[in-house]
This record gives sequence, C-alpha cells and structure tokens, in this order.
Amino acid sequence: MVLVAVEFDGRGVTQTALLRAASDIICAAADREGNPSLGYERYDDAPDRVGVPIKGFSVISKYEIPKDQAEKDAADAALPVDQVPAPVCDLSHYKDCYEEVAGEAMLYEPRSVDAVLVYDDTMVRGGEPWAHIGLQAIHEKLKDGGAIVVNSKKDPEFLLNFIQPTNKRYILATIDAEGMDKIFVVPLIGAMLRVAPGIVSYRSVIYAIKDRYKAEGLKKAEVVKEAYHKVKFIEVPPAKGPIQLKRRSKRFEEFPTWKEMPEGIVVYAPPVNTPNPHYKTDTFRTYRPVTDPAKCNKDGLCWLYCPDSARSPDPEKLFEIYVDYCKGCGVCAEVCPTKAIKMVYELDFKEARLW
Amino acid sequence: MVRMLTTGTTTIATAVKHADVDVISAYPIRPYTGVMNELARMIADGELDAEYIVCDSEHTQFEIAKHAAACGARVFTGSAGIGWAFAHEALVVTPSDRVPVVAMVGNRALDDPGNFGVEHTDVLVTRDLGWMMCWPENPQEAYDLTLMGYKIAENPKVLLPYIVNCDGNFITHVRFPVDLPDEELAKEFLPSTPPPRHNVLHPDRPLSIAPHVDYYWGAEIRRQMDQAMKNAIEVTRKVHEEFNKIFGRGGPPFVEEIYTEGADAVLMGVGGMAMPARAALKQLRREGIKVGYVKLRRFRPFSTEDVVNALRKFKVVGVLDMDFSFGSAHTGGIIFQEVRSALYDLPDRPKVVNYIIGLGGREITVDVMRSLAKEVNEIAKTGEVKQVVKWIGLRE
Repeated sequence: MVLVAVEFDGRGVTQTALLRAASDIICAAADREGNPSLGYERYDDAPDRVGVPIKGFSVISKYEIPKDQAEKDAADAALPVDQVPAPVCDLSHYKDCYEEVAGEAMLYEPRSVDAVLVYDDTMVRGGEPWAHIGLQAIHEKLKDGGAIVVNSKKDPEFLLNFIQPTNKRYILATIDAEGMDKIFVVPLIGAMLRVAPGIVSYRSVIYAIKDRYKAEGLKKAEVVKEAYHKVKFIEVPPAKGPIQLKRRSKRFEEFPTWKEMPEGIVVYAPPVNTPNPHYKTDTFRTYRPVTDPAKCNKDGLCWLYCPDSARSPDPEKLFEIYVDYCKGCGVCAEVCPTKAIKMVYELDFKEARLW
Repeated sequence: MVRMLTTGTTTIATAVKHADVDVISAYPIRPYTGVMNELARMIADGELDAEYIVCDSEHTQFEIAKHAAACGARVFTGSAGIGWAFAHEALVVTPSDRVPVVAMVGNRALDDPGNFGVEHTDVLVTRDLGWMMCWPENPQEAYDLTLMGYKIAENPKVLLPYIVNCDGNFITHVRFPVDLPDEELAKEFLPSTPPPRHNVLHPDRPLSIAPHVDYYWGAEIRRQMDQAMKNAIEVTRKVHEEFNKIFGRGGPPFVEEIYTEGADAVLMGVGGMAMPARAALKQLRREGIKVGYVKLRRFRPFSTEDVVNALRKFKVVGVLDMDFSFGSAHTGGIIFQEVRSALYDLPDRPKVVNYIIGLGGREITVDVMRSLAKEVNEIAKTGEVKQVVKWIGLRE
C-alpha cells in the first residue's frame, strides 16, 4: 500500500472554494481508479482573513504506483481528449486501502505530500497563517523528489529566488493557469500530471473533469491537455552546506511545556507602541503600497484608514508602511485623494524573500 | 445507491432529509454549521420541505426543537461546544418531557477561546440528563446512526432525545468516500410519519406537558426515564437488526470488536479514533503483534451486558478518552470511569488503564496508536501497571 498526497496553497476569502474544487477533482479521479481518498482543508485556517495563506489537501491510498505511469500518461496526452480511454476501476484492494487512508483522517495536514499546487506566485515565499506556526516554507511537507507547480506568468528560475533553500531535491514548475482558464485549478492539475506522475493517472483526471463540468467538460479537458504540454519546469538540486534561516516554522517540541506556560491562558503583550516581534503578517501580501513623493500631500488618510495600523504616523517619511505587517489590502491606495499610492506586485521587490 | 466523496455534516443532513423532518431549528456554531448550511441548501433547492427556523441563540434553538417535537413534529437540531453548553436549560427538560428530538453535536473543545478542535467533554457534561448518545466512526456511520436515531427515539417505549456525536473536523469536515442509499430504501426503514404516541399537543385532545412538579412527583418521573433508557437497549438492538437487514451494513448496536482475534490486550474508545487504530493494529498484526480495538458505538444507554461480554476475555483494556473529568476518581477520563466500573463485579476482571488523547483537537496519528497498542500488550505480558492514567502527546 502507498499513500500519496497533494497540497493546495491559496489565499483566504477569494480562493477558499478553489481549494475544495482542486481537492474534489483529484479525489474523484482517484475514485475512478478504485482508490479511496480523503479531501480536506486545514481546519485551523481562518479563511475569512483577506490574503491569509490557506491550505487544502487530497490524500490517496493505492496498492502500488505503476512504474510506467509517466509513459502511459504521455501516450494518453498525445491523443485527442475525446479519444482518451476510460480508466479501469480496480476494487480488489479497496478495503485495505480504505483502512490505510482512513488511518490518516485524524490529522490537519498529511505527514508528507508528493506535489504542491500554488495558486498565487507570491506564496512561494512561504506562508505564516498564525503566530505560533511561524513561516512555513512552500516545500515544508514535500517529499524528496516531489513537485511544486505554481500558477505564474514567470519562469521557474525567477521564482527560485524567493524560495527557501532546502536539502530536498524537487521539481519547480510554472504555468500561466489564470491565463488559460477562469477556474485555474484545472490547468494547474494538468501541469501536475506531467511533473508529478503517479498520484492520479492522466486518463482518470480527464474523465473526472468531463464528469464534473458536464456541458463544458470537453473544453476543460482540452485545458488539462494543453497545460500538460505547456508547463515549464526545472529540477532544483538540494542546497549545499548547512542552511541558515532568519525565519522558519516552529516544531511542536519547541513550544512551551504545560509547566512553562503561564496559567489561565495568559499571553504577555509587547510594550505599547512596539511592533509584535512574534507575528509578522507580510505573507498575506500580494501587492505592496508605494507612495509617490511628488503626489503625496501628507494628509495622513492612509495612516488613518490602515486597518492594521501598519503605517508610521510620520508625515516626513510619507507615512511609510511597516513592511512586516502590511497585508497589502489596498485600502490606503483607495482612500488617497491625490492617487499618490500605487499597489506594486510583491515579487518586483528584490527584498521580498523572507528567509 | 449514490457514491459520493463527502463529509459527515453532509451525510447527516442527507439522513435528516431521508427522515423527512418537519421542523429544523438552527443557530450557527462550527463544526455543526456544516449540517445547518447543507439543510438550508436542500430546502432552498426544493429537495426538502421543512420549517427552517434560525434562532437568536442555542437556548431558543433547543426550546423550539423541544416544543415542535411536543406538537408531534419530527425535529432536527444540533450544536457544538459552548453553543451546546448555552442550551443547557433547554437540554435538561427535553428528556423529562419525553420528546424524541434528534440532535447532532459536532464535538468541540470547551472553550479555550476559539479552539474548535474536537474534545468530547462538551457532550459528556450532558451525560446524566437522559439523552441517548452515539459516536460514528466515519461519515458513512454518521448517516446510519442518524437515521436509526429517529426510529429508536420515536419508539413509544423510549421517547427520549438522541444525540449523534461527530468528531469536529475529522468527521465533520473531511471528505470520505461514502455510499448513500436511495431515499426509497431509507423510507422503507423509516416511514415519514412517526408512530403515534400519548404526549402530542393537539386541540382535539387537550393536555398539558410539564406543569408544576414537586416532591410528590419527582422520583417517579426519574424512574420512568430510567425505565425508558433501559428499554432503549432492547429497542436499539431491534432497530440495528432491521437496519442491517435492509441496508446490509450497520454493525453491532453497542460494541464492535476490531482485530481482537487472539489478542490479550485491547484499546477502547469512541468515535473517529477507531480509524488510526484500525490502520495501526493491522500493521502490528503483520509484524506478529496481536492487539485489538473495541469500539464503543453507543455511550447512552451504556449496555453493561455488551461491554462486559466483549471485555471479559482480555487481560488489559486501555481506554482512550478524548475528554477529562478534573478531580475525578484516579483523575482520569469519563469513559474510563464508566468502563472500569462496569467490569468491577467480574471475579477475574481485566486491568483497565486510561490514556488521555487528542484533547483540544490534537492530532492522532497511526504511530501514536501503534505505541499505545504495544504498551497495553506489554502490560498484558508483565501484569504490571506503572501508571493508571497517562496523558498522550502532551509537552512535558
């Protein structure tokens, strides 16, 4: 028996339903091959916070992964989508596989994943959903030799600048998924089939997609095929030498013991007017506000309206943002009467790497 | 039969639809909200015809459920964690009014702010009130136990309210492969109209339910409830038998033995933790270590007979509690106390130890289950108990 898993990384509010959609497609594909699966979104996420990094998962149990799966998929992907043969539903190991996968049901995240699908390329910097979790690298749960597939117009080489170094070997792939389909998880899954074969077969995904999107099914299946062929990818070798990180996620054992915790659920706050050293919310940000000194009239509306108090009260510094706390919501740009504030794509800043 | 990948909240909502309920009272609290949302969708889509009342609080919600049931309506409601706690005044009088309300409790920690992880203490504070209680292992069983709930609760020999517990997140929010039966099959098992009973409010036959009560009446009322709970054991057996016949699944009514063949030691628990236990025990069996798991499907009524018969053949029972009773005997879990007490009269009784596990929704892995299974097996070999109550996965 083998357990395989896929992780979906998106952002709160806007992409909540898309986590579910991707997980449902992959689980439905696994089901067509007779493999039981679990699909879930991380329970502790609060997806109602705008921009918060959120995660979803599919976990599949199968008897074995055929060695020639990549070749079979490539042969299927060469056919027109309406001529792809139907997957064979083999239920001979179903009960054993079900017990195996259900054994993983009492977890919030799978123990490891074979592929990570990233919905927004600024997320490759890592995500920090809660203070106590810390900055989770995009390959935190990835198995050695796994694949990261990013929805991005950029090349994999460019995105690599923003990804924490790791001792794992992995494939980094990009595809302009949003440019291919409004439901961009469809092309993302197509790209995944190419760079991480063996999780689910190409043909089972084609049939699951045709079934799910009914009248539009064939059109969506074409998108899968196109993405399979169009995906750009590089192999990333393991980092050499010891890895030094300024920010990283915390291990369970690093948290205080019950004897060390203050009794009565007490949290000591930082002194008044000092930033919180324990929790940075910069991974919520896709766009960063930048003020044009020529246009700024120093009225301070940006400072006043900032919902996170993430701007300095100093007019001489043009109410500069506290870069660790600005979530990039864009309220300041919206309220500025002189249109002095522009929202700039986060990866245009070289210092956007967080580790 | 429809095969779906879906959550426990959806399967429970489907069972409620198949039961053709008349009144649903609702107030949101995670993880119960999933059922509430799904039922609202069913009504909006015209799949279900029922009164859907969104209340101002859980207290009102459970009062409305009780009163609607008193009028003879088939009712569904539910809550979780502190919402359940807030409804307590209504919860207390529902069983003594002898109305067959069916409620889903999405188990949730009480209430370290914002923690919506599973803990069974929320429902176990209701342990002594006269509500029937069961714990499904997975979304499939959640459907089964909900549908059976109406049949058991509405039996004129019982007429007690019924709780379907559901481990928060792990069963309520994880999508599993599930086989949902056709509505006709469900109707064959549970007709849309409940059997007639004596305590229905109707203008044609005026009566008053729960007027003033004093010491002339109190003890007899309690004894009646006691009898109803005792009757529920036999009724549950019959309902299970019928369910198994129609649907071809459902398992035994109170206690299910998993991989117990040839085992000297077993773990025991309620709800979803049977899933990692199954996976772990199967692995161990392949490695030559035989340890079993005893799944307690129903906690109220607690069938002493079934529990004793299942456990008497083992040397060691390790009870897994996802709950805690502060300052109790041996300062352990609630289910542990009950199981230990049930075995007391056996001349050659098994040793009973207690593991406190998964509090506040902490993850339960297959590896944890493996280590616990090995531990009880070791106690069976040596006969030596070092610690009666042990906290698992705690940072200390």
